[in-house]
Amino acid sequence: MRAGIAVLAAILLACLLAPLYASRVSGTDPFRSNVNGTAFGTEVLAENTVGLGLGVTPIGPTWRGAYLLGADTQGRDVAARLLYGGRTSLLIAGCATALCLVLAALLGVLSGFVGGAVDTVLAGLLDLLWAFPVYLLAISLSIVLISQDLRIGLLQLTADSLALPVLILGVVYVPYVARPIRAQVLALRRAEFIEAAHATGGAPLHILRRHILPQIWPGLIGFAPVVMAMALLTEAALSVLSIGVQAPAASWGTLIADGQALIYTRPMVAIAPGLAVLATVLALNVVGEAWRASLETRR
Amino acid sequence: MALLAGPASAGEDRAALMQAHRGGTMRLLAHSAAGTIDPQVNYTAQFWQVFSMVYDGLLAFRKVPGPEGNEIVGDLAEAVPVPTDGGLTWTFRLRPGIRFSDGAPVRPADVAASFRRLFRISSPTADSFYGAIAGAEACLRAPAACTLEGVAADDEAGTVTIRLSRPDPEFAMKLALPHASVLPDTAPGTDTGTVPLPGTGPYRIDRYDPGGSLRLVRNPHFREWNADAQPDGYPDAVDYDFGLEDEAGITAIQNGQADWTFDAPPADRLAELGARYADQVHLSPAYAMWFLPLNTRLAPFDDARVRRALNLAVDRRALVKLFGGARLATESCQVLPPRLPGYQPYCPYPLDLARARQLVAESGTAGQTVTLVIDGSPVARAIGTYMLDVLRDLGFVPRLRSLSGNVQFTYIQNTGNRVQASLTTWYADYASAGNFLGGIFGCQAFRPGSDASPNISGFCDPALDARLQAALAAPDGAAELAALDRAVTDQAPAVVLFNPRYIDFVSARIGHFGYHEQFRWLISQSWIR
Repeated sequence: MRAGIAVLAAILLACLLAPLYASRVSGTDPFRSNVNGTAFGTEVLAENTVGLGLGVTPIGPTWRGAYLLGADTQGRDVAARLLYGGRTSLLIAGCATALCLVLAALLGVLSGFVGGAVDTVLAGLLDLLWAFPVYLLAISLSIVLISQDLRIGLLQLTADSLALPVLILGVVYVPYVARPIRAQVLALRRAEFIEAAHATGGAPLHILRRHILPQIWPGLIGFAPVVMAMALLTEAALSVLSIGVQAPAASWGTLIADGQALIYTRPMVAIAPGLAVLATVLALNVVGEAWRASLETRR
Repeated sequence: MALLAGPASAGEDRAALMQAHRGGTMRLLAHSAAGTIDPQVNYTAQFWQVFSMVYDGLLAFRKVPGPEGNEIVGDLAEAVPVPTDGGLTWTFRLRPGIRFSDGAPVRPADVAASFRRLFRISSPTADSFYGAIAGAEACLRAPAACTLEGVAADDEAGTVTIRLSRPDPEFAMKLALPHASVLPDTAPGTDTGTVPLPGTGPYRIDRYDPGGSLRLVRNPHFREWNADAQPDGYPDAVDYDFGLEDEAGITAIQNGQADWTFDAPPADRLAELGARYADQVHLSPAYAMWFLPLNTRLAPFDDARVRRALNLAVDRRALVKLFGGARLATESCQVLPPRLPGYQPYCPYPLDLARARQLVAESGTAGQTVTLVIDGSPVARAIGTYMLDVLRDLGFVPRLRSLSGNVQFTYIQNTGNRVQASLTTWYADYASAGNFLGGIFGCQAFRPGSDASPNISGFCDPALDARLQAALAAPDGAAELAALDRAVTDQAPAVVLFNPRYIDFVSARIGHFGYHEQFRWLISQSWIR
């Protein structure tokens, strides 16, 4: 667990503190095209001169501070974008996880505790939602919402709003958490100590607050790293398909998408954000596993 | 490298070449098929190239490389007639003895039926290309009952007479396009989809599966009647496979597993191709442009000062770089591309950010939100991202909306979607100034509420339209076309970015490559080594 937390903390710190030191890493503004710019006496995007002189090659990785990982097709500093993009990816995944856990807890507890028709309807809805492949659902929602924006009353989320992927990712993983929570609450309802609490005249809300929520809370926390890892991966997938984070904002997924066009000449543009996603997901999984192990030990 | 390299048709001994090189199977690739195989419906450069080997019209573009490929010659008709009656009546005499690939003879009745079918199946260009034929209006209103009285066939005399309701200076070129292909009069009155129709060219479509492949084999009934119009082909068969990714397609050609791909090579393979495969790369000019239509009927681009400001703020050299460099595109800020009649270099919009900002300040539109709609291709994304910076520099709040390439072009045409600015391309249907000045910025090309409204800017000046028609009809109208080009460019209904070139990468075994101005690579006129 310590290793996972250390990796996560390092990635988080590197990304969150990026604005403080990015100027030393960045050749230019990481969000602005630098097509005709120069660095170290050469063009950032140099037209090829060998043979027929076809195509343009971005400046490669350097050891001179700026353009540490080279430039992308727009002439932007990949290292700086990796830091800022990481901040976006982690922000989206983190917020989506929080949203998912809150919604899942509400629905799971409500469904399991109230029971009856409410349970039938909510459980049916969760099953229905979970019947859709998660990626397909996320892609469908993204395409619709990005092309038409989301307008509900006064709430308006435009295509370039980061709240849009947060909302989509937060919703699609709700059944993944809510269904086990509901099952846990259903089991608790039939537990002897809950029945005893009912028999002694305990109010439902009191029972819920004092006896049920404390039981499901550790399990809910245990879902956080796993859901965050899945949200991170899904965000990256959506952004690779150009239906996640929209320009000029950047995330690790959009960086991978940018790198696809340079996979032969400047593979680092796609590999670096890919490695960042991989390291973060592995770290989150280590943390999740360790949390589950500690829960088992306590039991 | 072979810039405009190809068969020097003049002086070639075709018979000797045919004897030496005839045979073999050519293997072509494309990322995807291009939809229906019906030649009167399909409206894609990808399949028009195929149709040019399979079908014939009354007239044809000369099948030779270079500018001569824009010349119109008699194809199924013996010659290009001189229209009479003030340009309203065209009488064609059919060549005798030509047969369809199913063995049936080509008769004037087939020609008349083909023109009727064009309206009955609501061909996408029925109105824009053939709407001048007498009776077309009624056919457009009620396609199923179309009689098209303007086309009269005389089987005994072997003639077809076409009457127009108004002169059309580009009518001969329109007759040489695949939509005017002559088909048997038994062709069904619906889009045939994946079922090929008999044609008269040197090849017939043996099978077509949009998810797999298309195969062309020799038409057993073809006898070369005019090599300029429809020459016999060198390969015995052409296999066109669909579904391979661009990167894999280039690798397959490098390895000799395929001979050519329709799709442009990915950007990161260009350097490799230019350096290591220079002899197999062909760069060819295109009558085309990349541009940003600006909606002249919506704020802020309803103000000409804002449109000019955006033109002044764009660094076209940067955009050429984003497209792949100066060998693949040339900066431009005028409507007409080079080599078209009326083209005279003209650019009133040199990069001048200070002047651009001043114009925006004068217009009082700074701070408004501007949404640019692009398709999801890598180059479009790169240009769109760059344009966000430009719009922000001018004081706007820019937004980028990326749509799938399948829907973006129709989406930006429909006025109902209230698109302020978009990024798109225009490749000419045929080499004519009218295809640009009228086809993109003419009043007739603006159809509110329609998905087929190529005048995306909504720019309409009836006086300029009238001058355009007169200039196209005049034998010496080039100077007037140049003046019109300047007039439209000055109004800035769009930001013209650059004129692209085609890049064709062929395998080492392909010989006698020739680029046709209308149909790109003349596939049938190359041979397999």
